[in-house]
Amino acid sequence: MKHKVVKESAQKQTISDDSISQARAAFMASGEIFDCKTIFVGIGLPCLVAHITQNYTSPNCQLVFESGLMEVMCKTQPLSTASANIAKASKMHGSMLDVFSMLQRGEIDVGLLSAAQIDVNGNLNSSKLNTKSGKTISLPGSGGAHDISVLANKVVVVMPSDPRRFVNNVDFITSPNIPYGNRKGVVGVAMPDGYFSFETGKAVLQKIYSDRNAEEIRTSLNWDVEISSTLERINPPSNTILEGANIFLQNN
Amino acid sequence: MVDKIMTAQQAVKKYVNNSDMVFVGGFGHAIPFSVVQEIVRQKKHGLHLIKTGADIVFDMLVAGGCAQGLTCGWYGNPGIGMSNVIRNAVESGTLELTESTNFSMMLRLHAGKLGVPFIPSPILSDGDLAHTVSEIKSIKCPFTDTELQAHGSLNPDVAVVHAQRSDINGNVQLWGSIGDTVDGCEASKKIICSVEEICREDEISLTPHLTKLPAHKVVAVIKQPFGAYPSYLHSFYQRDEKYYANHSNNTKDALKTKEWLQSTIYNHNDFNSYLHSLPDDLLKKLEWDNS
Repeated sequence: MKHKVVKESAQKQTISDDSISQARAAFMASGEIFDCKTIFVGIGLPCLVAHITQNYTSPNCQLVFESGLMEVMCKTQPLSTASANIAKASKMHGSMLDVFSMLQRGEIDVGLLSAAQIDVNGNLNSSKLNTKSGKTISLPGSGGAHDISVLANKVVVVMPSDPRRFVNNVDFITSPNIPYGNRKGVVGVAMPDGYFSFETGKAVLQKIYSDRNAEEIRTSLNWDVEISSTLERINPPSNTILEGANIFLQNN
Repeated sequence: MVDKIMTAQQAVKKYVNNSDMVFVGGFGHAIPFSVVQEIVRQKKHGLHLIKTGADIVFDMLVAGGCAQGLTCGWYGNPGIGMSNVIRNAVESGTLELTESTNFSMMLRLHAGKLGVPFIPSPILSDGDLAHTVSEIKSIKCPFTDTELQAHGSLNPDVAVVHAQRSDINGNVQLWGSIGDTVDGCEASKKIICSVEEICREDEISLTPHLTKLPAHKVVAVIKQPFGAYPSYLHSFYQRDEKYYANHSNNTKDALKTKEWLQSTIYNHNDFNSYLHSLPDDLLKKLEWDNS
């Protein structure tokens, strides 16, 4: 099924359901970081969050990538944290040590991550999955995910809507949600329908899009979490944002 | 001035020994494919590879039987997925993989660069990954009593890197995304560097701020245009996205991987022969575009 959005300039874009879904998850995450000045961006969906934040909600934010790129304009989707498109749109080429040091000094307001799995305690898995048949499937590994999760002042996770990825206990704890010092750790996870907060330690469905139903979200993810008594309803992203996100994703 | 110009064949033969610990430079950018191909061609073996994020160039070293160990924070095809080659090698027991994190690898290389036995950091205190990483030990801060992890130093025997240009003495100029390259090189005992251009000493003196690798550690300078192909080199050429996109399919099983090594490495005497085997206008299409 294709969803048509009419642009102000009267040009028409066909936007796939997948693109809309990614934009909704990213826009939800973006709402959690509008007050953050320095953002450490992981690869994948976090890049779309960074793009939306920089273009629509917080134009003065400063984006940092683990390869050492700083002050990046995230105009097109990068495949890696050192891709030429973001290297060319960067104001400073530092080293990996430079940017991880910024994290460790507490200068990064938020880390944006995705993961293969997240559990009800906010632990993340990027290392290996156990199959029902008892096999273990290796994944590419932490990269900087563990480091970002421990050292950023707070972490917002962004995930697609997939019940296999929202679990009670992750198969392997790559990034434990045990923050260091006064860091807050993983404060929440955004997905295409809503946002789960970890402020009380356990995941609680805190925000949903106004066109979604809280109970249905919980059922669709098969995730055993509470619905907040102060559940907030958020307007879905505008057509302008959906279009912008679609162009960003297509430029890959 | 010492003339360190040589071919990749000479450099690898002279400076890469079996069982060496090898740092491979380039993090998503300026990946030294040409020198790595020569290591595979010469069938070096028993190497222990060191890296933060291991890109598909590591598949060459592992599939070519060169690597016995790999210590890294990540491995795979950036933005695309898992390395079939490394996964199979680990499962069949031919490769010993130690997984860590990118920052821990940076700290270990930086400790090596500083000449100290470790650097303390709060990372890798907790979680399943923390419990599987070796060369990390809990310590107490002598000032605050806080518990930290000591990340043990690494001093690889040799670093293999690619850069934009150098003089014959090995004053190597590198720009664009730096990643782990400079720390990895300075931690290593010696550096083999391929470059796009050899320039005069006085040209280097005009832009000394671009010189990123110290000449006293550089033992070999290899002139190799497109030496980082299929990765990209800032100001020189773009990444061959198609190559990366096809890589998983090219290495999906043992037979395909063998064919890939054959057509990219073993069928050629050197990297230029490989470049000549590519479609006529391919490299021209990858020309750097500043926009």
